[in-house]
Amino acid sequence: MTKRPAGVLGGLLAVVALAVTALAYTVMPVRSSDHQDSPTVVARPAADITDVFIYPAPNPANVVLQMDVDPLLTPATTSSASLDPSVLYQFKLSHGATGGPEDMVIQLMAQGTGPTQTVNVYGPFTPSSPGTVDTVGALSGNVPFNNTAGTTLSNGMKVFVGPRADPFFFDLFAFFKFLPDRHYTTAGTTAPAGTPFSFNFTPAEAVGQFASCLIGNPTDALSSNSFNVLSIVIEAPRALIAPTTGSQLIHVWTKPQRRVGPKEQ
Amino acid sequence: MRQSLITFVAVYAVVLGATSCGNNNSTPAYTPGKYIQIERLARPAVKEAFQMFADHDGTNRTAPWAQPYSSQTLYQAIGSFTTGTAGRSQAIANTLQAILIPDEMAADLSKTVPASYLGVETMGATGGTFGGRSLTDDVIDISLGATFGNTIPSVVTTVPDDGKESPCLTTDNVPSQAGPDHITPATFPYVGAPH
Repeated sequence: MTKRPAGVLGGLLAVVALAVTALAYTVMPVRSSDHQDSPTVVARPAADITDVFIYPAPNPANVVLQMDVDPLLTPATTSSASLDPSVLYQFKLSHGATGGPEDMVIQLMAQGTGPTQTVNVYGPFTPSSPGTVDTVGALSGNVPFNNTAGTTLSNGMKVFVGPRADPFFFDLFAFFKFLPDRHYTTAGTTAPAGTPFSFNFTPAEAVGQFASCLIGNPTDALSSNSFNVLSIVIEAPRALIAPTTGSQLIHVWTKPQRRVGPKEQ
Repeated sequence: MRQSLITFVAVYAVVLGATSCGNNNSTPAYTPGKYIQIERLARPAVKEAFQMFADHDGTNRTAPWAQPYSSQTLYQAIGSFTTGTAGRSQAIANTLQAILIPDEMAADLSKTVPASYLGVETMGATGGTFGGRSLTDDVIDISLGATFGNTIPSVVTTVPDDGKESPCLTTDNVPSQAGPDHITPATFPYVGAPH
């Protein structure tokens, strides 16, 4: 891409930016799309959803539902990462012209810990009652962790669960400078007086309506630091997810739920 | 420079390791019973952009469809951030609330065109009517454009241009990292191999 400074000035900016970045990182881990967005999930990273995706599969009969969890895995920590077996991972779907309570649920729950775990898949099924307290549905199959070819279940869903490169991209460092409240280690604070309310613009980009913007080196915090996540990828027949006639609109959200009981955190 | 990065990775790994020790990973794998919500997510960066960090946990424990929508703290935060911090018109704030609440990601499975974030809500203005979200959609720039730029007045004819755009906040100037992130659009599982 061309969105990087060039020449001596660009090189200097890049060095300065990287040094600042490294310094910032040593004192405050990052959060982004939904990475580390509450104390509860900071303490339980495998239940921390970072991103949700819905997109057509190459096979036009299929759709892909994807939930990423466990932010900021480094290459070193990735090899031991796995889903939290005390957490029920859920895709919730509402059908019709507008969003509303869920009328379809797909759930996953890990069996065992570490990369040798397997993952139970439940549904899709209709929940007995929508809301924030749920029960486990009917088992649809069990898949090994990190089987990159995917495991196809009898209901037609192909499922992958395992480590992947975090696909989210964002200049987090610029964001936290002018909205420090959004980082959990600096929550409740505001930017110091005089902080520019601006993302980073290269000299080539800081023209026209952007002429007064902050000159800097735009950097994706995730890929530039080789961060990984755990991805839950479900490729499902569209006909399994939505009616084949009438409205085929779906409205999707995801949520991890912990077991209710005296031992729970 | 490289040493700084290595130092960072090492420090971060220690922090992450210490955090992980607090997990409940050693508990039995499966107990029939009830499960309670501790987090939720659909559209990216909605909580992060609009809501104070202290309020995220409350949002994370509620259903996105809780009625009336105006009772949701996330709904209220979208309004107050947009008119306050971002300094936009009430009409733009109202539009954002209508698009983003309930916080459920819409996709139209009758469409075979590529995914395009907010494509259903904007009737294709963001790139296509399938909606959903692709691995390479620039959701940050779409969100920033709607909040700080002229996206809404230019798409919704009933919302006048308030003349209060903040151009320096309309893009983070970071494009899709499909290459560095090893994304494979034609090959399952599509999201890229880990670093």
